[in-house]
Amino acid sequence: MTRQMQIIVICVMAAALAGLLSLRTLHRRVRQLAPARTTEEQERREVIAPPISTPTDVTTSAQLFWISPAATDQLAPVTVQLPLSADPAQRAKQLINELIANPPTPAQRTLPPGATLLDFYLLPNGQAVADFSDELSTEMPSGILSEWLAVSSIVDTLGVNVPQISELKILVHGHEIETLSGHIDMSDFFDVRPPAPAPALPITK
Amino acid sequence: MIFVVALCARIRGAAPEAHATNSFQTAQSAQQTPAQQQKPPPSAPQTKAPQTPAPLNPQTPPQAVLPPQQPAETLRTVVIDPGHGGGDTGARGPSGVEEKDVVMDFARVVGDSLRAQGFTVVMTRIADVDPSLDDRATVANAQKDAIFISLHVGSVGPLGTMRTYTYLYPSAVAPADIPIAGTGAVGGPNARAQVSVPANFVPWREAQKPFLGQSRKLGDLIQLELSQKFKGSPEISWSAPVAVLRSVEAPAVAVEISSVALDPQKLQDLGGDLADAIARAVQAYKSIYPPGGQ
Repeated sequence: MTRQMQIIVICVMAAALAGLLSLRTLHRRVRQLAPARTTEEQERREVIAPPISTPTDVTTSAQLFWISPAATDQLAPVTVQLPLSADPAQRAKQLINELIANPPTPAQRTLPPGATLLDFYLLPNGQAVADFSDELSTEMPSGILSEWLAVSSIVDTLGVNVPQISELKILVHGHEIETLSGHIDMSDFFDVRPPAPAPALPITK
Repeated sequence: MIFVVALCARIRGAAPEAHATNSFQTAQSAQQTPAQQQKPPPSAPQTKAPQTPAPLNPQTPPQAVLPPQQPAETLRTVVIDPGHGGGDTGARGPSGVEEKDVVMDFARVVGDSLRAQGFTVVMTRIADVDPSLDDRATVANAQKDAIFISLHVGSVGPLGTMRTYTYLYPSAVAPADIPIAGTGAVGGPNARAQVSVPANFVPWREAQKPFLGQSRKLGDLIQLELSQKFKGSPEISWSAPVAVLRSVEAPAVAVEISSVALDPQKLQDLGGDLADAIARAVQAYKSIYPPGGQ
């Protein structure tokens, strides 16, 4: 092998080595450039569940109930600033959409990210009906605790922020379901009332 | 819907005198006992056919499940309900462990501990099948002087902790308050059917209501034992609308372990202490068990 060939081979090997070393950094940068999953979810939600805006919207402090970061078997209220409608049904929609879309952390999520609130009805006697997409049931982690935390997060959030609601029926695509995901009975209306003062337990004894 | 679709007899047939070491009984066999045949029909809502297999010992003579001459007034029977089964896997962990299998193993261990204490144990399923929630309640309601314990493994919660639940009914809305539009009649989503009901019947879906106080006592005893063995568990039972408890006409609780996220071996290792805790609590509950269970 001539000296010239040796130099070329060494250069190629050096270049390959440098390329290998830079792959890890390159991979990290590509991952950073890629849109985050939460962002994708938010983009999807903007299409399937566009933000609800009404003429009476006023930015208000609202208490939303997600899983407590300190005790993962309980709910805890989080105060957020939200544009909320004066109309109680629209207000309930805005709150439930926020519950689904923007938990403070993924670990505090109570409702499946793929679930969509299809419609919300409120009768003059305080009975309300929330109609969700299939994902509320199909993507719900199975279990007594997980399902009860999910229901309680909706009920407690409405109880604090929409006093006109006294009872809530949860449907999936307009139909009654026997259980949310194998455990919690969904055949009745749930009582809606402000939860007990902190610590906000999901279960009433 | 909440309209009453079925009624169940409040006065049940006497307890089957099941063999202490082979006391499995299925929904199907329970429905065929002479005691059940004496109930005022109908006693159960329309449900799918029970899928549980035949009793383990098909040679057991029919006389073995005849009611005793004198009604028992002490707690004798524990109905254990391993949740899910068959196509319903329940919660599924990252390791692939499935709730239906774990609770089946737990049910066997718990059953052994209770038999060692002298209790008769009846299982709602003994194989990988999925009886409906009503079928499970039917198995429990065929027993006399019994309690019902449903076992589950959840998806969330602090790992290695356990919670005991009793049923939570919603506040009933007075049917008369809800007019049906355009009919002049009253009713509504929460209205009960206005039918003439014999005094010894209770609505199928309200069967647990008279037993809530006893269920809480049982639940608190179990949870106290669990809290001592499994650190981080609450010290008292909780209330939640756990569907399988609703139509059980006896003190009834559900125990859920957190969670399927545990390493499968660690999860399996919880069975011994779980069985010990439940057996101790049931033994303690026996001393305060009232005649008729209410």
